[in-house]
Amino acid sequence: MIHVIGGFYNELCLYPQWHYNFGSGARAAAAIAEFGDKICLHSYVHKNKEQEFEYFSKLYKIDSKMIQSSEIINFEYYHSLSKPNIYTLNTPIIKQETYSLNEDIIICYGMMEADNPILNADYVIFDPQSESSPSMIFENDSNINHLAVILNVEEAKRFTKQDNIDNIAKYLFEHSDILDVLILKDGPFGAHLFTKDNGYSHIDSYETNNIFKIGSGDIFVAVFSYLWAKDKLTPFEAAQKASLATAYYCNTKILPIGKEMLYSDELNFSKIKIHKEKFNKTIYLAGPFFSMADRWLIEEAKVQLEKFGANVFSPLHEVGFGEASFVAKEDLTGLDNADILYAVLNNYDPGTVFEIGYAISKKIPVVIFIENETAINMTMFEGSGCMIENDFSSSVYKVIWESSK
Amino acid sequence: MSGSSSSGRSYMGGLSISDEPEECMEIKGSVRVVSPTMTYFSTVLINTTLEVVLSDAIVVLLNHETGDEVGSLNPSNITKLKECLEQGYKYEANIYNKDGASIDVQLTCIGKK
Repeated sequence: MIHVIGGFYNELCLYPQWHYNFGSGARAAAAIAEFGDKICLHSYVHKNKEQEFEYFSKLYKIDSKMIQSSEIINFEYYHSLSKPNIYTLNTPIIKQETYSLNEDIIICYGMMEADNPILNADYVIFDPQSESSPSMIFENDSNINHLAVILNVEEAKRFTKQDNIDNIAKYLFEHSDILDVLILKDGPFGAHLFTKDNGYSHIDSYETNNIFKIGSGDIFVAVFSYLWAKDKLTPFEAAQKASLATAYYCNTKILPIGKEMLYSDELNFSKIKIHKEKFNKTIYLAGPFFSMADRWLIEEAKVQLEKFGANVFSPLHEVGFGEASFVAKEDLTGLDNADILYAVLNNYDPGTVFEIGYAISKKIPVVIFIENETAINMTMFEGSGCMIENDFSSSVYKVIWESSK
Repeated sequence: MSGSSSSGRSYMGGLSISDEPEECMEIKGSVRVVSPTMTYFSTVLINTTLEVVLSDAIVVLLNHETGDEVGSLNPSNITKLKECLEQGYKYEANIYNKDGASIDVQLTCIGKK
């Protein structure tokens, strides 16, 4: 049996619409529920959520162990790349007693309700799940034979206070005798795999039509864990399959994941072979900024693109308002120097439509984000090769990927 | 982001839930189908209506014509939905989106037995 320790939380997202009971632990358990071995989910659960937890376990045919909690935790997202607002019953959150577990294979996610559990296990795969103050499983009294730690690059930077992936790996392997595998997840750029014997491999991501990011990291950890700890694949093989499974989830939001699918030709996503360190593209961010809603979206797009290391030329920020002849000249110079145009086309702002046409005439690739579009209005954009997206997160990922081709 | 109106109904996320007595009638919204039967969904047409019933304590979708189970539901207010089904309220699920194995249905209450 594979044991999963992790959160069972209420998740809400506005765009795209999403309102379900998941959380890292529950999502991971559901993801690998049909991989073969029985799964047991251990979660802190408030008495008002017990029936939902039992239903979840029955629905996905997993065993479960409820640990009493005085918290109900809600994660609310504006879109699937945004930082969640986290709402709890109590402020500050009431910490529960530290959990302990003695089993062969344990997948463990950091949780808000308690400190990291004390684990006695042959294999532990640990995801700290805390961007602000991650703590490591090897810092407590756990007794583990084989340990893999999987976390985001930014999370790892904060924990180690190191500024690049090689130094992060050096730091973590120096601070833990039991660490066998370290995987640093890097969004659209894939992941970095380090092994105890100084091995390094890049794990490619896959290009998908839709990008739903909430919980994608949970899927990667769950699938990697099963294939590495149970099926005894090499860390590289397990991570490659985990990346493929993650792409499938991001594209479809479907759980459980079929294990046989990972070994078939059914998932024919293209690999994305770009490294963040070598990513040096300039994205021209076009869109209206004449209302608070317009402005919010432009700011959000800029933040999300810059998070991935892109140079963003935003006419709003780089040029601003002014005389028409000055603004037009400066904007178009910026567009001439860009690798790609990202256009927020809601309400068909005339300036943005002009910039799209100009970019096409200069053979600059164009990704359009537009909601509530009509086919007739899209004719020229579609016919001239623009990539058109109506989901914000998907459009941001596609800009990064397209600019690297 | 989430909020409640003065009527006591919250609108955040997929399902709309009322706190008022007729809340079983008010359960409605978009829900993703869990473990859809692909032999059925690969050929079924958009706007086909499915029956929503409890089977072994799980909320399942039935093909109206054959009575076969074709998937399950797990909306955020599953406990309330189960209670309402047990009280005799009847629900339908209208297929409004399908993309491969991603199937979304619109859940509505159609009355009480």
